[in-house]
Amino acid sequence: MKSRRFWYLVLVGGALTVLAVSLVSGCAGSENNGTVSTSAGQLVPGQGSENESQPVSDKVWQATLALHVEIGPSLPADQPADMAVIDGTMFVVDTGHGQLVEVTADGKSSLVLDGQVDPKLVLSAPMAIASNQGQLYVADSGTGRVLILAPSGKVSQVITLARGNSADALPPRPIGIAVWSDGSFAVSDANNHRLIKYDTAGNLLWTVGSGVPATGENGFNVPGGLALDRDGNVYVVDILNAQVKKYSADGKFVSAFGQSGDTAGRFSRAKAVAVDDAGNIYVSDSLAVAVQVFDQAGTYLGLVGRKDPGDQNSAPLFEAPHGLKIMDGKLYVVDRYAGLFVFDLPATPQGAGS
Amino acid sequence: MGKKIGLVSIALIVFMVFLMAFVSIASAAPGDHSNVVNTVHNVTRGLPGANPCEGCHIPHDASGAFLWARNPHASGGGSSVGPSSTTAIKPLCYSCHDGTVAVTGMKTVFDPTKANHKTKAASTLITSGSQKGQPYGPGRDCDLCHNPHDDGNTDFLIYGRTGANGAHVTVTPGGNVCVACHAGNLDASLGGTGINHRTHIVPSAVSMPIDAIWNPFAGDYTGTRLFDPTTNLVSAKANAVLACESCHTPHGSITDENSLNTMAPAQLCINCHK
Repeated sequence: MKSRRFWYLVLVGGALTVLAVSLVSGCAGSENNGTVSTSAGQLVPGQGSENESQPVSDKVWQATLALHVEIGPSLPADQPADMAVIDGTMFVVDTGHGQLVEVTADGKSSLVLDGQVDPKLVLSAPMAIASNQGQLYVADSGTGRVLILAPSGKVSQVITLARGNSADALPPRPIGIAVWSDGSFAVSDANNHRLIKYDTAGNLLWTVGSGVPATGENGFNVPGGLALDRDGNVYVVDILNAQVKKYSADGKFVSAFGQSGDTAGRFSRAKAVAVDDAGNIYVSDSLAVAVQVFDQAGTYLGLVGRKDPGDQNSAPLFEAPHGLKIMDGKLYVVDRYAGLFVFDLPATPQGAGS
Repeated sequence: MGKKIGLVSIALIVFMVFLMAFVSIASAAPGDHSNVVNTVHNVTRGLPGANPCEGCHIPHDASGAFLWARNPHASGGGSSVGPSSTTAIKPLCYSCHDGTVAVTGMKTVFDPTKANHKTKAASTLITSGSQKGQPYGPGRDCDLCHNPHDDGNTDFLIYGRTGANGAHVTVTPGGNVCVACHAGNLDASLGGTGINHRTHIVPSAVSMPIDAIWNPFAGDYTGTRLFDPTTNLVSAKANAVLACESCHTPHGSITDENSLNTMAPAQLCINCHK
């Protein structure tokens, strides 16, 4: 019968379709597992496998809270992002007010440093600060400049960061800064996804990053906080790639680690970095609300920032931890809402060593 | 022979029909979530091996609802982002809108000294406007008004800014981001008095505002502003009109969270009615 044959053909056609589509869709797409190889070709997994399936870790990083300065009369700042320390005195970038706030080591009093101290001290959304040889280097993201000044607030040099070469290059927006002992400095440019280094005269030395969001050894997707280790290597928080990347002082890629996620040892939204003398890498994460610590291989070692240090699930100390500095055995943390925290680190280095 | 070719042709046609039907169903957009690809919230921006969702979500090893890659809650509970903030979405928004990934929001929404539109209502259901009957509920935060996946209305607003006639912030239920919820206060047919300060009018020469600038990005938190009726942008041109946001602002207000004015009460009226 004609109709029976018709329906038979419909059945065959449908079966062929299902077969063809299942064959085509069997091909898997590419996968980004968030690991990066070191220059030696060794894969850096990011954390131990025991963290892969459990959100809780019993790893505790020793750090004793020594001082907490809340935002208020002792710290009249609006969403401070970073601080530098000179002889115990803390110089805080007050991002919201566009000024610096100098806070005494005991956290009891402060002094505002702004245009009234020096007319050249004009800041608009300063996001990062570092110190070297008694001088302060401020990354002013609103104006795309770096200001070098004395602790008194007197500005000695203003460097306007140069735009990239591309016609599409956006104005530089520096949100991280690190300074070497010879006075050269590097900034992370969030608008153009690059790490740039200048000498003391303001000459551009080298650039890492192509000017657009990128992955890999020499690419960034919003580079954030910077830090140096004792060997002069510079560490960059690659915020949207959930990585911390390490480069030599002359801009050569060394290694990287990091994986996105909201379990222990992973990056929710990493912001800034600091390195202790043993080579342990501290990473502030404003969404994980903690400072997580890793060794040079990227192995997770523990976190700082819980009211009960022994219980990772206890209430957090922080609201939105951001800028970090390690000096003279202390860990300094700037929190955008909760203010300044100073922790004493143990005299004996923790972790597996560098 | 002809019969065999005919049968093969029919089989092929049927095959193609099924194939086209399957492909069209499989590629249909799942909803507004897919629109994120065309917005600035597509933070991986076509990077090789990355998908547009992983700025905020992760398909494996997540620890919370919505497959957060970036947990908006602090581990172990507690507040994050602003004193006594215990909400879910705000920390995730601030994790980018803090001057690092994005510069917007830092001086308005997240300025701790300024007031913002409430995000937790006393009642559980919206009582008037186009969203009447929709729940507020716990956890409604920035997402009370914003959908981070869809920028069709600008500013990732769920409710459009334009009224049915294209004008900015008209008192038109269903077509306006304010009256989406506040229509009852404004419209007599919905229980309000219907007597409100007029909007969508050009101030007369006598009542042009003295301080016509409200720009927190420039550090100016007090002043009113007028809007271009065709572009809905802040404008100082001759045809600029009054709107709800001339006197009120959902973010960055210097008055309390109940009035959300752009000027102190003593100055607001006389800024125009001198």
